[in-house]
Amino acid sequence: MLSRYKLFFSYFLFLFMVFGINAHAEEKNSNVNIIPIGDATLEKEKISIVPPFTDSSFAANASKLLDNFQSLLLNDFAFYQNKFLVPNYNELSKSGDKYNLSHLFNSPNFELWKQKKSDYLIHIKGVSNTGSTLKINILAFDVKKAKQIYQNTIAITDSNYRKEGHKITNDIYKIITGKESIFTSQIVFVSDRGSNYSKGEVIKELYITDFDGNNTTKLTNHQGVVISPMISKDKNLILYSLIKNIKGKKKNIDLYLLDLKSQNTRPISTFDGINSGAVFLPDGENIALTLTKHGNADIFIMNIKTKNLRQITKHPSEDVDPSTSHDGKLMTFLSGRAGHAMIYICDPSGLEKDVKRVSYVGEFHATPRFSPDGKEIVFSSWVDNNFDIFRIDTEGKVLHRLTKNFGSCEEPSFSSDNQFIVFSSKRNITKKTIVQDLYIMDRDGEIIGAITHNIGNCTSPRWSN
Amino acid sequence: MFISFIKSLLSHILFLLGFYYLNTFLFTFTESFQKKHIDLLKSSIRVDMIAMPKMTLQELKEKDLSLNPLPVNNNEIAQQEKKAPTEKKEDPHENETKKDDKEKVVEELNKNIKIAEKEFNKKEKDKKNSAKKKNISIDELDRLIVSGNKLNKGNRTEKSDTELSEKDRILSILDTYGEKIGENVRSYWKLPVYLLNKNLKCRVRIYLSRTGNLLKFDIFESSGNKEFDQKAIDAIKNATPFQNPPAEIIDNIRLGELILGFPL
Repeated sequence: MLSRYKLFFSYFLFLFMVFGINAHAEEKNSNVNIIPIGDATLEKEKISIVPPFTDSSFAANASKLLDNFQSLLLNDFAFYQNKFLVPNYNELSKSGDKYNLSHLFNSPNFELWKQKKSDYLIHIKGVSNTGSTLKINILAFDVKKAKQIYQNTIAITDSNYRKEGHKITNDIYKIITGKESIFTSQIVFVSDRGSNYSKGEVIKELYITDFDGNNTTKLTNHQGVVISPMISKDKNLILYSLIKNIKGKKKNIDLYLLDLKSQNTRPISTFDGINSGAVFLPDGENIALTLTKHGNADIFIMNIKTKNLRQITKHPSEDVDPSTSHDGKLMTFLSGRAGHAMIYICDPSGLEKDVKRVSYVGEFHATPRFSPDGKEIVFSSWVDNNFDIFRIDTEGKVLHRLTKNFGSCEEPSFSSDNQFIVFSSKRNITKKTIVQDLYIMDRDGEIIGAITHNIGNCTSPRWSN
Repeated sequence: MFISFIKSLLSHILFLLGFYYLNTFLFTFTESFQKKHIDLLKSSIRVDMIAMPKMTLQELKEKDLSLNPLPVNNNEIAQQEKKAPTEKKEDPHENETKKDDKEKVVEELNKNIKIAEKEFNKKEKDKKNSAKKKNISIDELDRLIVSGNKLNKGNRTEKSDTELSEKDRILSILDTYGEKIGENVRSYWKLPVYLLNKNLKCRVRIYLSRTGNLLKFDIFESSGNKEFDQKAIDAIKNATPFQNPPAEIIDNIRLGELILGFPL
């Protein structure tokens, strides 16, 4: 009996060992190391925009217009410096290169362009010229696939070629990338041009400019102080606040609505105290703004038509500067409830709903603005005796610094495609004189350039769609 | 007798199956338990963000530092893993007689002090060199690390070497080598705008020679998009030949134990 159990026991022990080893062996055979490479970086695509095809019958000013049009296309695509390489082919026209032969307009030499490693090709041709109007053809080609991807015929003049040109570049950009570009967008801002500080006369008016700083237009003439402008999604309406230059009377800060089509402006919120920092909500009918009608500053939502008010924040400290994500589900604002100005987010569908603190470090912050995708908040913060611009995610976990040693950088505003940020930068030229201009940088802080120059001190930029 | 033979055979088979399943069950259970333990340990380490960043994103990019931003919760810290202590040579004379013990201990201590000093000096030198390379002073480097900009990659927690089995040691060498070649490939991993943000993923299995050359590759898992797969293969080809692999893992890399995941 005992020997039989011994036999059994040793038998099972043996089997156990065999299977044990086998299990381990299986483990070993399935041993592969997966190394994550991570996300890819963007490969820049080369867009070749060839000098316009013309024949000698065009007058000098028409040729100039064609050249200006080509420059506009070049500058637009070059703006997206992380996406596109836009070489300058202007030398070709001088050398009498074959690219000016008409028959190549419709059927380019794709093999040659492949050799030049060009991904896309754009051809422009002057068709006819009547007075100051020039009729042109634009063709775009995909070089790798050797086929035409875009064609259009438009009539341009010196005054409208920029607007028409931006529409064309936006169309081509959409075909290449599948997304909307910033080429048709505009920036509203405030400038103190016309002020006489030595006499104590401060005038700030509302201006609008193309995203590239061209076509700057003055929109108001209140002879007062305009602050915190905001443009609507459809680009037809602008909200701004005004401090009237009325001597003696208590200065109220009223909210105005400017209709760009009718050129009419009217006050829409005139409660006692502050009516400012207004932003449009995605539905276009409601706005969020800061009011001090109850004493301290709180954020409200107001219907433009019915003037119906709904309170969003209710706290003894100041709550200012609302900004919503594009879908309107999240709102960020600045609040002093922690003792100093910090950034918070909340759900704007209720009162003090889901209020969450986002920033914990820093002395104090200002002007938090949502990125269009609602994932990040860009803001300015007081650091090293200066304002600089930072970007934080809505969880408050990832904080990046975007500007440094570039003057005092304030009031950042995202472009609608999430790729660029416009902001104002103030520098001290002498102890008494300051210069404040608007600059554009990409979302990682690479400065692209200034868009205002010599038009007074420019502040409070807001980027439209 | 025949019946009793059948009975014992059946009971044998039952016990066989029982042991097999018990074994595999125990194995997987302990594995997941270990994993949970490690995950728990990782999540319990905390780091505080104590200041606004000193360096801008552009400056960090220029200094070619790894840019995975520190995930920081409001009161929690990013993960930091510690480097394994360097292997101490085992003194073969540790078990000498008691008379020499005291002397031996002192000798051992002195040896260790010298090793520690050497290491410390080397670290300082490395710090100086890396600071020089990045054109920043050591003080600045220290201040940067304290004030929250991520500068060093962090280190890895490992059990002390006496506990590591040979297999684990080889795995960790393979892992380290894999990470290095991963970094090389990453710098060549580029996509045109129409392939980005499409949630495409592929995995490529690579077979390397003892000198780090690419012997062959195959697509372990395709993304479904030929161009995407080709871009991944291009990135690998551009990055080869890789650096010389450590001798211990020559077989592993030749047998295709490394798979590169684009992105994971």
